[in-house]
Amino acid sequence: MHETGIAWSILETATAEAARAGGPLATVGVRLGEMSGVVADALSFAFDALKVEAGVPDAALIVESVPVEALCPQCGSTTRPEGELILWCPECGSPMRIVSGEQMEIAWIEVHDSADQGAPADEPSQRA
Amino acid sequence: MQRIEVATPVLKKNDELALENRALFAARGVVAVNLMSAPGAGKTTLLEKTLPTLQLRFRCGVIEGDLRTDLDAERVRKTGAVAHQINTNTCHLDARMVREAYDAAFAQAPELLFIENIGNLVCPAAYDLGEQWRVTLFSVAEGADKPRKYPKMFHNSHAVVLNKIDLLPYTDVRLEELIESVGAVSPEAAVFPVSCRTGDGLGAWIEWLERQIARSRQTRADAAVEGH
Repeated sequence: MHETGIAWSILETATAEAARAGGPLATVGVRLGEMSGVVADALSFAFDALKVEAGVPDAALIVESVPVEALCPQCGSTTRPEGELILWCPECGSPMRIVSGEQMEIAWIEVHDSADQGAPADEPSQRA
Repeated sequence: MQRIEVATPVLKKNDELALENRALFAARGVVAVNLMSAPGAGKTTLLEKTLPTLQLRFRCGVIEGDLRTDLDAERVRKTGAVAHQINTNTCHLDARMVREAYDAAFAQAPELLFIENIGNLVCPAAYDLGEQWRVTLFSVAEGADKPRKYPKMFHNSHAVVLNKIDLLPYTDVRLEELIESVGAVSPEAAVFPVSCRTGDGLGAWIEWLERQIARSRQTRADAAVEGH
């Protein structure tokens, strides 16, 4: 998958959200399904390569991996396929549907607030 | 440090544009089919062989996606369909490209619109184009492990066309194995074994398309009646 383009989209959305929150972007939390098509390592590499250009050279990326989960609409069983994907229900043999594990989502961001950055220069210092 | 929940899909912009495309197609009576496969499985040939028959009954349009050349658009134009070629450096088509191509190409809305995606079994699976039907093509020569190796693409397809069955005698794979491997990752997909070369199986594929168009027309007619 073209992780560079994906990383750029993440940086765009995260920096916009940080601007709305009124603080510089510190961390981006991304939820990546195991079947999203995106490779976490490649994504991290691309994120680090692009963050300077995006204006957030110190921002960090945290990737939370989401396993594939399948549901049988017939009998309600759920499975977490490991390795190979086989979507016939082990209980009743009906076709199963994937209900989780394909997502590619910006879950949360952390922004530095003003206490982290110290008081502005023209205000009297709070510290003794 | 302040934490803010965002919970936004990375591809939100594409998803929004895809929704707009879907609404436009529904409003104009366009049944859009996103046709995907690895390079060389036979997407353009499938269109060449089936458009002459389809065009007897429906106004057909094609949006072609390739890195370079307009060879594919030229090939399908010979069938009489209106075709538009997208050339892009990306490994997949996205909703914005499809909308721009649609607006540029079709003064009159096609009743059946094929979007022939970039040859790639990975990235197109992630990009909603606003299509109604997703169809993945793979060929006998690619072997029985393709669906299991590319589960996302096959699982999210409504139909799978298995091309080049005329080559079965020259391979070690059996037709049953190929169909079974589709079923394991996509139990609900309709499977169409075909040979574009000999014409075998193309009738069933065309009938499936005709049924989908008839269903769409019925849905539109019902909605129109309810609206009054």
